Amino acid sequence: MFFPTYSILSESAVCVTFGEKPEEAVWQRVQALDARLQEQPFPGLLATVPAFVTLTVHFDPMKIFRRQPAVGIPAAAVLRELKNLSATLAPLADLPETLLQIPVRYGGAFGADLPEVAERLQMREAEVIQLHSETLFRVLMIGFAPGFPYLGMLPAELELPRKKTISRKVPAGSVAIAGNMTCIYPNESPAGWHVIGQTELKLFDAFAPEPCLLSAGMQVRFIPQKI
Amino acid sequence: MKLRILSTGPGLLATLQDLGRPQARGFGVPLSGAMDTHSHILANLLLGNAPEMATLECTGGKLDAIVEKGGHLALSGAGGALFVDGRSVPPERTIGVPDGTLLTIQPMPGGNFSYLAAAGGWKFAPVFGSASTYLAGGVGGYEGRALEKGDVLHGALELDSPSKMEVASWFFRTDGHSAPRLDTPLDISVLEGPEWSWWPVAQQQAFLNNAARVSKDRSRQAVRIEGRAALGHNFAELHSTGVCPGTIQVPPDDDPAILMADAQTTGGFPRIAQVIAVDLPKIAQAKTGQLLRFRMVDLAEASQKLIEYELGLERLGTAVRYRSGSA
Repeated sequence: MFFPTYSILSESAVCVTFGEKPEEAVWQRVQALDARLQEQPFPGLLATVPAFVTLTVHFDPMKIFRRQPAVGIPAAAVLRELKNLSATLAPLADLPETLLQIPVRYGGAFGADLPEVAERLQMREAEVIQLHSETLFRVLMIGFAPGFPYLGMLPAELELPRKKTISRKVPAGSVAIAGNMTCIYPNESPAGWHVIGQTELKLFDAFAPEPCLLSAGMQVRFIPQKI
Repeated sequence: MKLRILSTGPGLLATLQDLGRPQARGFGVPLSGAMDTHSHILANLLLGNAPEMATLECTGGKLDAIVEKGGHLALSGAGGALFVDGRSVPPERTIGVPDGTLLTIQPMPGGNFSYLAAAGGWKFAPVFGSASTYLAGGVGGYEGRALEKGDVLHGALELDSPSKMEVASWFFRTDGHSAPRLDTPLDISVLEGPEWSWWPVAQQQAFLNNAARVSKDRSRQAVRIEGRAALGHNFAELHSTGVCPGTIQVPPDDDPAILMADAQTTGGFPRIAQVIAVDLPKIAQAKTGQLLRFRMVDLAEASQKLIEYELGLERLGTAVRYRSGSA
């Protein structure tokens, strides 16, 4: 298959897919198109949602129709625009080297799933903490919930499938792992990932100039705190 | 206008909503807004309001309130009926209420949601420009939560109180107030979802030919439909990608979910289809047990319907403003 491919999500949203697997080069192209649209938004653009292999572009079809009633199907006009942009897409400029240190209290009441994680990985809890906190992560995308970051990549030794039974409620700031990623739950939430710790940092504030603490491309290191 | 909530009946969820916050999706913030956007807009248009002004969305239970400062109101939506000082008010029309009036919004069997609009809109503190309440995030609306006994809603404008009750002689004719026939399938038009072609033709046919039933698992985030057996799959996991209200996601071993106003911004289940925008309010009002029949349309038809619908609303708004002499 040749990438990018273009698909219609709705009358007011389209998806551009840059590859099959969430590889570095694919992720970079998603970010590059997103950056281009942020810099030069087309009239009617509402929001972009960059993910691992796709960029979803939301727009106001009536705004596009009113500007140019002869344009035909608004979503088709947006796809034409995105195809033109993608054809001339420059590689992403250097990623910001922002490194954020996130203090975490691991285990105990702060990381209810740590004992089970350690047991399933046949490690001591301290080894899980060490591997997790020694890894330099990068924010791959924000999604699922306000300010919710997906961070990669987790060392292979820590990979576990998602939980079979979803935890009904984990507290705000829960740091969790699943597959080859780690995440932080910004709000109290049901959780399908294994919670190993908790941070006091606030990940989302609707009234802050930058509502999300983290954004795609930022680097993150978790710093173990004494409980 | 000033309205104090006197009591909230069991099961009531009353939240301030508008047409959502589309610009905040990049931060992982759901669109939110009215579940039945059509009734929300009609309630506003009845009063000469802009379609996006805040209304009070009521579902699931009875709401009693007292008008502490009078004004003009309208209730729209098949899920509720308005009573003024204990007397029923015919639906879909403007009423003027003096100070001290008792209001009741009573759930009705014709649907799930109703919308109470005030002339000039309800006052709110905007979050990303919107009044909408996103309960799971504690964002927007009335302190990020549903209304409770003792809460007070203010109109956005200081307008004179009518001295006595006034009921407008004209109204919007809608067909939503009779109880639905659950076994008569409701026709819902859909677009192919990005992963439509993943399903074998036999399953695609089953999706379109067999009516599906609305399950009891309904929320502002998603309405589930029974039918896990027909669409079950063991496709490779989809890498989390964009979804929006109307997206029909199919988990491998659970009922398909039609995502609604509070849908998460991204999801990892394959998207078999997309309910077209003008049909999504029908899903919001569909009761548990309602049969749905999906009909595939193309993007041109869906877009045309949306444009015609929006232009029609615009004409309706203009007509109301002429009638009340404000245009």
